[in-house]
Amino acid sequence: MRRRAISQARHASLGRSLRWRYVAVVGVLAVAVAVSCARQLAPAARGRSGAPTPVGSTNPRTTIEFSLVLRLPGQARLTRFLDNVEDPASPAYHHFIDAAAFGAQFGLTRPALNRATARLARDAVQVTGSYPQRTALEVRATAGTIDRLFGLRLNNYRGAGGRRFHAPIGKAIVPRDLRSAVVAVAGLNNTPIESDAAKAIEGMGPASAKMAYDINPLAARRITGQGEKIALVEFGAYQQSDLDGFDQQFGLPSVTPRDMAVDGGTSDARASAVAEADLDLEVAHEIAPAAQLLDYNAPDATASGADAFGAVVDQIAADGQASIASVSWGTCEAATPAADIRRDEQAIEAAAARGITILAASGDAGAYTCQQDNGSDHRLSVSWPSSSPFVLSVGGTALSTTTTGVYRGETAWQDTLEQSGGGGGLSLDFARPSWQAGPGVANQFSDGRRQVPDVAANADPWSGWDAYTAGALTVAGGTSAAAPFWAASTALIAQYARQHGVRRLGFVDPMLYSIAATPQRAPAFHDLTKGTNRYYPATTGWDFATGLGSPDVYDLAQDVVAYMKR
Amino acid sequence: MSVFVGPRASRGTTGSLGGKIVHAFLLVFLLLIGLSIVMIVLVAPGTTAPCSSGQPCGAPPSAPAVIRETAWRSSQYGFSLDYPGSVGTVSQQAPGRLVLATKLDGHSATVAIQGLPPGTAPSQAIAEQVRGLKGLSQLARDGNPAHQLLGAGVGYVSGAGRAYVADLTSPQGSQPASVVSEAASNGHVTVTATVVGASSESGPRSGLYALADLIINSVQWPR
Repeated sequence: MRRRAISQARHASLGRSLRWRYVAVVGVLAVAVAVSCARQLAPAARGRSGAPTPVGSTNPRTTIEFSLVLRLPGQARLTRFLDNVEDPASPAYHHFIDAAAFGAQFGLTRPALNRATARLARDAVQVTGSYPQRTALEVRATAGTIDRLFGLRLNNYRGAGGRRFHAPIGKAIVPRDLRSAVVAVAGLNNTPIESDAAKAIEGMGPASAKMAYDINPLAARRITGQGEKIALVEFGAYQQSDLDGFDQQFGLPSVTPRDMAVDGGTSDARASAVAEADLDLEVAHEIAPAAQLLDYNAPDATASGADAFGAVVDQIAADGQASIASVSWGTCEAATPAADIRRDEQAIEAAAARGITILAASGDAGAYTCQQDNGSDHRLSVSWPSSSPFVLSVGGTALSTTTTGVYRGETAWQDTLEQSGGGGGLSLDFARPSWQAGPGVANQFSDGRRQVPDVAANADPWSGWDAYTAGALTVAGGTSAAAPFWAASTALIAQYARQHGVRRLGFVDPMLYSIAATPQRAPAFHDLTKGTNRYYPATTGWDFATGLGSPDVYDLAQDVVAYMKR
Repeated sequence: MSVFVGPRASRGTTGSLGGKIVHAFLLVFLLLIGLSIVMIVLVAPGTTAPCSSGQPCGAPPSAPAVIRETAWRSSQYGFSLDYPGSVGTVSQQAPGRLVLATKLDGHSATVAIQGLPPGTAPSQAIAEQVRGLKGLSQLARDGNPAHQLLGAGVGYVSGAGRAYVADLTSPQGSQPASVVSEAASNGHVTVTATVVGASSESGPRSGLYALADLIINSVQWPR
């Protein structure tokens, strides 16, 4: 309840006039950094690359795809369920449920869903997709219908590079006779994704990464991800030739990600989009080379107005194949419409109920996530979905190793002039979960809201990751690299745990905080105490710049087994 | 095919000594070409046999250093710093001052690190440092809020930061320049770091600023 209250208070004051979306991308010779696009535009919106230009009302006959966020009548029970399913003291601990059970227990009844669908059909709103967890409906209607039904006006804009998109003026109002089933309208804009890039020179290859983060002892025990499936959320089309080139460069086994297209999949072959997908897949593969990679790809908002992230997570939860999902994109939480956050969060909670750990990049603008899109926006802000209380938020560090790759030290990633750093700060939408506790968590900046990041890893482009994209070896950084690194490390830990008779890891945040708060024979985290993320300092214990710190993966694997066997 | 035009034309002279020499030369020449082709095929990275699933496809390269750096220490103030020698070269140095010419992707900027006596406030240090810059005209504070330095400092010690605009003058003419300066003090010494570059080449997300950040963050303070 507290969570909702904070959300409502914030959104009431914000007026939801703006939405900025960023996707972490990597340029051809570059580092992954967040990318932006305005979602609900207002005259005050001023992006780094200039304000989008209104070009008139959307043609009423234009077909628009968007999402309807469904009411979860069992929300209170769901909250209790999610608390219990991750509480080792609860009889329900790790009794995960699949998507259909989630829908049956917490979602609308079938008759209620059918009535809503029929009501929508009468207004010429066609349902194009649904999920067994009953979190949302993917729908399609003309702009004229949307304007009339939801009391707003869709307008067209021309953004950077001349790309056109639509976005609503005004807030969608759900018709009274739909409110028992529909709580919000999400994804009514399709702002194009813009890229940004910085340069780097020397990168960290798989051998260095495995040495620095103590993965080699697992590899020596043949723990390389066998039997694990990692979902990568992508809005760009990776290049198989790049993955092959990466594997050949570093002597890795070849990998062909399994295509898990959502809503028709992505065909975005812009260099920045491809580079992001390449980086995610390559980092995950180099850390867990035997894990199966599931490429959950969806059109970016250019091709579909539907809230793409929520749709992808719903599909991951419905499929139930992957136990780990990595997300390298996000939006400025402070400017993301409440409807979109709610739509995404319901999907995330369904995934958590199924025992799926979702990891999300915390953003690349330090404590000022919204500045990624608008240089003049100096609000302390965090990235969505990284700020979800059911996501493992992955922040950024600058890593230093010896010439032989041995871990030498790490600092918070802080690039003042470049306006970059590891994302971290306080969520405006969510209260601090009960499990987010331990040394350093309650500090001078705490105010009861969700604190991010949870963990961190190398992200500074100057100590960045080797990546192969556009047919060439390059270096990439950003929390876009740190998130798949942590995802793949989690896959290794899951395999190690399985070999030691331990069940599925599930949503790992409560366990990680508990491990960090308890003295361990094998310390699992490098506690980073130097640097800032442009505002919040790295300190002893948890901090807003690096969370619990970066992992010693082998030690963490041992600690996880000990934790789950206790 | 044109390679063989010459040898074919010379067949009429096979009986002569000169012809034998030409033949022998061509034989050796062709042999060398053949060997070269074999070597190229063997070592070219793009022609490595594809890796089969589940099997390593070659010896992994040795782990490289993540960042290769060159160290510099101020003999006057005792602070030190590192810079990547591959993209930064020393253009001036004195016991308390180092000026680096940095170049990345064809773009260049100057990074000046200056030590000052203890007691010099960071904001005062920036003002002094910027006033002393040569080759600039029309220097003024940058009023663009997007260029404001958030979280300024040196060597992970919080301090002050300011952005300026100016004209960079040279014999070829003048061009708009960006000047950013940060300073911090640890009580024993104040250190300023000032970056000057053409506006078209430097600025946030230019890569050059990331390089400057790397150098500025590397400052080690004297104890």
